[in-house]
Amino acid sequence: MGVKKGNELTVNIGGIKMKNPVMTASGTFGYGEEYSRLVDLNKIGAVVTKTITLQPRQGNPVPRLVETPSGIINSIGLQNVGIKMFLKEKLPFLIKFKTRIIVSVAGDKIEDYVRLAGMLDGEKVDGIELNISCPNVKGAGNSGKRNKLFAQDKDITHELVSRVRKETGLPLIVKLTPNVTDIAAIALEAEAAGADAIALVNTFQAMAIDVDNRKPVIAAGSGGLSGPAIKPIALRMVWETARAISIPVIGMGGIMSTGDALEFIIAGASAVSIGTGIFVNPQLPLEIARGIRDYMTKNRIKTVNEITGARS
Amino acid sequence: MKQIKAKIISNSRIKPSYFKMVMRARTAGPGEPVRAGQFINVRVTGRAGVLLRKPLSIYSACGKEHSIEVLYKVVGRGTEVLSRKAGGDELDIIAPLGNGYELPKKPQPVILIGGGTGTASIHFLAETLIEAGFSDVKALIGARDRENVICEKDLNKAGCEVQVATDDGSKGIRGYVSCLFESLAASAGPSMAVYACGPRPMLREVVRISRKFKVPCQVSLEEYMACGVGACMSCVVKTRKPSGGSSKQFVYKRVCSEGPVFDGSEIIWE
Repeated sequence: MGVKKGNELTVNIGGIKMKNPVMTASGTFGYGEEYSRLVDLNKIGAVVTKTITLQPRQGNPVPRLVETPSGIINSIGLQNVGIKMFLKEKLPFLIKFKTRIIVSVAGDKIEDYVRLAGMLDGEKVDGIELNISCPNVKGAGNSGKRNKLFAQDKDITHELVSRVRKETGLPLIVKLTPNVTDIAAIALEAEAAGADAIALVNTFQAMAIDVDNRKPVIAAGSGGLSGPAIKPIALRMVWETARAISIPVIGMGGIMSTGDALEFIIAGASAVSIGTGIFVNPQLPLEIARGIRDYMTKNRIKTVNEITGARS
Repeated sequence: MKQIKAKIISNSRIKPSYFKMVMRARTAGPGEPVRAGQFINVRVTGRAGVLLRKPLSIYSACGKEHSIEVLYKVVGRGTEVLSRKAGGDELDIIAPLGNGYELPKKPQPVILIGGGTGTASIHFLAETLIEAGFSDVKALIGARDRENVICEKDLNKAGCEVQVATDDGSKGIRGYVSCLFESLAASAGPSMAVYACGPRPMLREVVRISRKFKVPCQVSLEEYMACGVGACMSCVVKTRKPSGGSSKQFVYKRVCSEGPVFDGSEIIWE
C-alpha cells in the first residue's frame, strides 16, 4: 500500500478513511460539541456520537453513575435528542471539523434501526455504528424476552444488520456486547450480513450496592462497567474476534495509555476507541495518536496495518 | 473552560476532615473570568484504582493572581488523595465549569444559605456580592455538628452577618438552617434574594420557604458526574418543563453544564 511519508497513521475502517486510528467511544463524547473547547476535534481519527434514537429519550433515573475500583458503572439509558434534532442542531456543528463522523444509532426494534439508517443515508456523515448492545435500555431485542440485547442473539444480529444493509450504502459498524458466551460467533454473523467493521466491546453488565441502605447504588439496579477494570477481558475478546473475521475490528475497553491502545492493535484491532479515559483526560485520544506515531517511528513501522494482529 | 496545569500554593487542614487548597492556574492566554457558583474538575493521580476527576466548588478566586481556592471535605478515596498533596505539587484541572450564580439586578438584601460543604460556594458568592456593592448580605450556615461548621470566620471577614444552626446544638441554634431562614424571611419582607447550596432536603425546604414569602431563590446542586462538560449525561436533575404542567412532565438537565445553579422553582424534588 502506497503510503505517503507523514501519513503513516492513516487507516481505512470498512471504507472510512481516518487520519489516525484513534476514535471516541459512543456515549463518552456527547455530540462532539461539549468537548470542543477542550479538545481539537480535527486531530481525532473519528468522532462516534452519543447514540441517537428515532424519538428523543429522557434516559434513566439518577443515580446513573458510580465509580468502582478502576472502573465506572453507568446506566444513562440513551438520553439523547432524537434523530431530527440531531440532524438539525448537532450535526451542523460537527461537520465543521476535519474528522470522520460516525453516528451511533439504537432502537427498540429492527425497524427503528432501518429507519434511522435511511434517515442518515445522504447526510454528511461518514458511517453508522449500530449500537445493538446497550445494556441499559429495557425491552431491547426482538426476542420477546425482557432485557435481552440484539447482540446476544446470532440470528437477530444477522437479520438486523442485513436489513439495515439494504437501506444504506454508508459504512456500517456493528457494536457488540461482551455479555455473551462466544462474541466471535456474533461478529461472524454481523460480517455475513454485510457489516463493514465490528466495534467491541460495549460495557459489561455490573452492579454496586450501598450497604447502608441495602440498595443498588445505580437507580436502575445494574448498569455497564467500563474503564481499566475491563481492559484485559476486552483485549481477549478483540483477539478472539479479529482471528475469526476478515473485516476490521475497532477495539475498546479501558484504554488509558498508548501502551493499552497498542495492545489492542497487536491483538487485532485496526483502530481503537477511547471512552472512560476521555473523562479522566480529555486529551487522551490526541496523546495516544501521537504515542502510536512515536512507537511506529521507533520500531520502523510504516503503517498501522503492519502491526494490526501482529502478535507473535 | 480550559484543561490547565495548576500549581498548589498550599493545602491545609482547617478542620479534622476539611481542607483548603490554594492553587495558581496560569493559562497561556488571558484567563477566563471565574464566577461564584462555578466549579473545577480535578484529576486525581497517585493512587491506583481512582479514576474520575473530582468536582470541587470554588471557594474564592482572583483573576489578577490567577489563583483559585477550593474547600473540600475528605469523603472518599479521591479527596483523600487530594488531601495529601502539598505546596509545589501540580494538579491537572479543568476550569471553570458550570454556570454560576446570577447576581441580583438591583441593590437589595441578600440571604445566603449553606449546608455542610455547600457553604464553600456560598463563600465565593458572599465575596462577589460585597465586592459588587451589596451591603446587606446575611449568611446562614447549617451543619450536623460544630466540627462540620465551616467558613464562619471567612464569611464574617468577607462582610457578612453570620448565623449558625447545628443538628445537635453544639454550635449556634439547635435545629435546621432552614428554620433560621424561615424566621429571618418572616421579618425581612419580600424584597430580598436568596441563594442556597447544600444537601437536597435543605434546598427543598429553602425553596418551599422562598415560595411562601414570594422571594426569588437560586440553588446550587451536587450530583455524581463523570465528564463535567455536559457530554456523559450522568449528573442530570429533573426540572419542570418551561410550559409548566404536572411534575410527571419533566426535562432532565445536566447539573455540570446547565447548572449547577438553578432557579429553585425549576427543580422537581424527589
